[in-house]
Amino acid sequence: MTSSSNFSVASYWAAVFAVSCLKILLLNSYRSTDFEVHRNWLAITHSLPLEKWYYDETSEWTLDYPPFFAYFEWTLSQVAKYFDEGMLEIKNLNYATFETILFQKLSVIVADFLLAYAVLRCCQVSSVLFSVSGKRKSTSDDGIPLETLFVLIFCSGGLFIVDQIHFQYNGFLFGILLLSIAKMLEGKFYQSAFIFASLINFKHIFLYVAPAYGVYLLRKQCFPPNTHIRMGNLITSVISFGVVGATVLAASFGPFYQHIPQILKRLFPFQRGLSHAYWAPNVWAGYNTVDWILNLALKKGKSSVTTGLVGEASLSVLPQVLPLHTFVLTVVCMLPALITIWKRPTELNFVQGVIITGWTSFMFGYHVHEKAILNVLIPFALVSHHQPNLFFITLVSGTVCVFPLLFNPFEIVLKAVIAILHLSLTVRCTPLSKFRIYELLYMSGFVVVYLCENFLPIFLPRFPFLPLILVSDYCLIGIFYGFIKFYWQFCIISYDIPAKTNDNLISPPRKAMQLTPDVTDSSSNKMIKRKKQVNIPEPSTRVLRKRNK
Amino acid sequence: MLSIPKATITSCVALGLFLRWGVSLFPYSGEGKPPMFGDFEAQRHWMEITVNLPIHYWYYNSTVNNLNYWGLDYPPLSAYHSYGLGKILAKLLPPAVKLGTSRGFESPVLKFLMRLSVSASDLLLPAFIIFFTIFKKLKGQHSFPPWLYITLAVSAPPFILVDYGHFQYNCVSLGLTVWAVICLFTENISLGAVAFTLAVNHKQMSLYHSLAFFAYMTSTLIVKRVDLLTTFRVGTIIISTLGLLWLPFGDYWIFVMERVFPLKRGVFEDKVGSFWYALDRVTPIRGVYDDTEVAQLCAIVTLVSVLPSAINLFLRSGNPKSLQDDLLKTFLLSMFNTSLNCFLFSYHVHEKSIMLPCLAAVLLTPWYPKEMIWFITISSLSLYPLFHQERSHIALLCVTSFFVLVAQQGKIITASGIRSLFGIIFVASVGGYLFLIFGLHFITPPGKLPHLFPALIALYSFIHFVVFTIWFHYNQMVDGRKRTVNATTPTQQGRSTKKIK
Repeated sequence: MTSSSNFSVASYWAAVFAVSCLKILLLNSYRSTDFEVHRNWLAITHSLPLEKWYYDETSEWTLDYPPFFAYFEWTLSQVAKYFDEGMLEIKNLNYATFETILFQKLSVIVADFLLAYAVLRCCQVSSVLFSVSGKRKSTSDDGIPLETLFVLIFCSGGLFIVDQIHFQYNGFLFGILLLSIAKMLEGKFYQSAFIFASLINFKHIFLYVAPAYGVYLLRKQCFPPNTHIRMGNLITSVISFGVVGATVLAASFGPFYQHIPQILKRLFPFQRGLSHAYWAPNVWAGYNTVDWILNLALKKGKSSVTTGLVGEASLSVLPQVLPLHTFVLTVVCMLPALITIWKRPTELNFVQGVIITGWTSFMFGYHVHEKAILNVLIPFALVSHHQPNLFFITLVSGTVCVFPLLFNPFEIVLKAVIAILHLSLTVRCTPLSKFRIYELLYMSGFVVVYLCENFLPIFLPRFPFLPLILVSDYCLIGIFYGFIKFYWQFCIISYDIPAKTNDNLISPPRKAMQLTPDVTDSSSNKMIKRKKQVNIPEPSTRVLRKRNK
Repeated sequence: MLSIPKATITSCVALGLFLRWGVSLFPYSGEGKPPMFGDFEAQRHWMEITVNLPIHYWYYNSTVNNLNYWGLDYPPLSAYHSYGLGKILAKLLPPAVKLGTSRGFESPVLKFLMRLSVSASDLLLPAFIIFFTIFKKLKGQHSFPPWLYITLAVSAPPFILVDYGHFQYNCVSLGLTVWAVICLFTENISLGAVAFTLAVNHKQMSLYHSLAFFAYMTSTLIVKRVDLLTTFRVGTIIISTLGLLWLPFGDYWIFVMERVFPLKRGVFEDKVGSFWYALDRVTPIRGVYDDTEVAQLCAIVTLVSVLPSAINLFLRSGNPKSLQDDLLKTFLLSMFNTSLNCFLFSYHVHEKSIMLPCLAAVLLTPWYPKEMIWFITISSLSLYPLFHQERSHIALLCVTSFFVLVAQQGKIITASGIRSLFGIIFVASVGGYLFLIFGLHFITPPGKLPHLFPALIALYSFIHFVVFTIWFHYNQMVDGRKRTVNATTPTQQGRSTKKIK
């Protein structure tokens, strides 16, 4: 479905509808408590006056997303009443009639059309990601093939698992993020900033990537490289960005102006502990594991990190980690990337910067959820053609790391099928080169991890946390490997390249694409057209090869 | 031979599994509907019977095995299959197969295990993939990429819906049939014969395809090759396979036959797009005439209706000049025509039997993409009333739309120029179904006709099926003649081979 000879915009939308049909098929699947969370928010926003939204505590799942998301829920509730009024009663806890499920799941699927539109927009402007110098080409023919982006983003296995089965609204939020990135690539900085500011007011987890936005915008608009800084220009730019931000904030928080402290209290709860019940595969998962092993070795008594309760779990041997520590560590680790963006503010570096800031926050943040890996995987898809192999390893680890969200028999089968489907489609449309032997070994290990994760509890019911530790630590290896390698190449190799040879630096995908027979087969016409246009100078190909390694 | 990239095949398998497991989430037939439940309970009950009773009692009415409650009515291989699955189920979930007390046993775990058992016995999914991998570049095929055919085959709705939604094990007999086709056309006639014999012995419905197999095999072995040794060998193999399957029943085989070919169950079941149902709307048949007489009439009409196609296949495959590539096409066309005519005219037809012509239709997509996509789509929609009853109509609509949208990815349905006429016909035909489905949900029929819309859907499907059988009989006859002419004139043949290169 993805590599037809001319994947036109019409076929694209047909494919989007086809995938939406697949999503509707998951209507009867398992739903996590997040389903009830969002049902409760529908009820709160529908039946309470605005002032009380952030105070209601009827359900334990209180509203803890920023106001735009609350408005979004309110909008949904206006439609929901035609499906089943019952779901809009705050007292109806765990209300899940067929109509309720149908409405909520459909709302995710329909909202995902924004993601589909954003993917299309990103594809149309993606040609800039092929040239480091930032020279924009007008033809959209030169960008990433639409089918590739469609597969990597819209058919993302992680999104399927988290949004359609587990139940969340990440799809359309990533749509907003991608729209803002697309605007940025087009050079429409104010629009991009506006969209991004709105995004943060939908879900504040995107604050993670804000530093990349901030540095890039500041550099591009206020301190443009290679020109003298004019005071007047600087001041107007700063004021304009201030106005954009203030407008969005006013629209979002304005109606709640008396209740802002309460909202902030809800948005940033710090009493939750270093790691989630299931450890997201980040540095702290490793830290916890080391603590657990030391604890076993020194026989110091029962460790509380492995009991699986959400709350402030305390480490038994190693020193405690406080939110402040993680915050400082995150900022410090982001700095080299931000400096690189500042020094070389290209579109490519911006997108890579978004990925790195998201990734750093994932690696070092406080109480990170495994789902946050999508913040890395989705933007990474935009630049996957630079490091396809690295992308693939990250994708495999990132997809498996959300597996523990689903644990019922049907979903145990489905999550594996979804992952295999997405990964094999990815292989079909990304220019992968040969993997190193240890990388292949690592990836085949996931089969064992999957089996252990789902069947170990049958044999070892006394250690329910053991499979989870295994998954999280094994995924950590891949994600950490990807992180280091990606960061290294971003900072070091960007510096290595002399400024002159940059112009055509990143034109590899055209060459590399042909390695995958399926894609060549199909889009051969396009390929020929492209080949004619591109003349890759000798030095740049060398750099390229270096990169591809 | 496997020049299709591994990743493509993996993704097709994964897509097929995704659709199957997605549909599995929906209710099965008779879920939570005592006292009779549905086909799911039937299959579970057969496991219960076969695991607990000695083989002679399986098909024999007794105090421990009341045949009126979902008695076994499939041939022996099906029973052995149930026995094997039942043995496993007895290990994993003993209460589900306890004799007597397990009646109506339902639990989420059982649902999962039963769905898993269908998925584990699915021979059809691999068979489709192998078929399209082996026969991907044959004469007269359209030039769509192979992955498109494989994707369409693995997402063909009727097979997914009936097996994984409604709950049956058709994937075994249908899969064996496709394996038989693969064997026959890769010169493994004995293996093909065994596979098809097994298919018929798993589900007697596969007899719809038997005439095509019979015509092709006899004509190839006796007329074309005059190879008595092979004929003898194949015959022996078939008979010994049958013997192995039926001997364990000893003298009780007659009870098996009575169960497998029931005369007392009427000329059609529920609302089905067959000729007799349509005739019944005009003048009543069911319950008016004696069942045996009607069955005889059905047998004669069916036989007459399938003969032209079978004879055509017999003559063509007996002709030493016809090419193997063309023969596959003629064989599949004959398989399609005979099974569709059996569906239209034979005795005791279920709406689900449309799967058999559909199987041939899937295999024919490389030659007739548009028509076959259309046929599969309407067959799937013709099952709508059944799935509406079982509350899994959403699954049906999803899988069917997915199938059509995939076909549209290859621009099969709408293309430029004259062909867009097909697009209009397709949309009009499917639009008719959508209107009837809309009516089924939202229009209250007049009091006298409570089942107006299911009946209309059946009749509307009947009209389609008649058009298809006429059109493809015409195709089979004309195409056969054209090819033999081609084969006899060397210049033309040379030209056509060049074109293919």
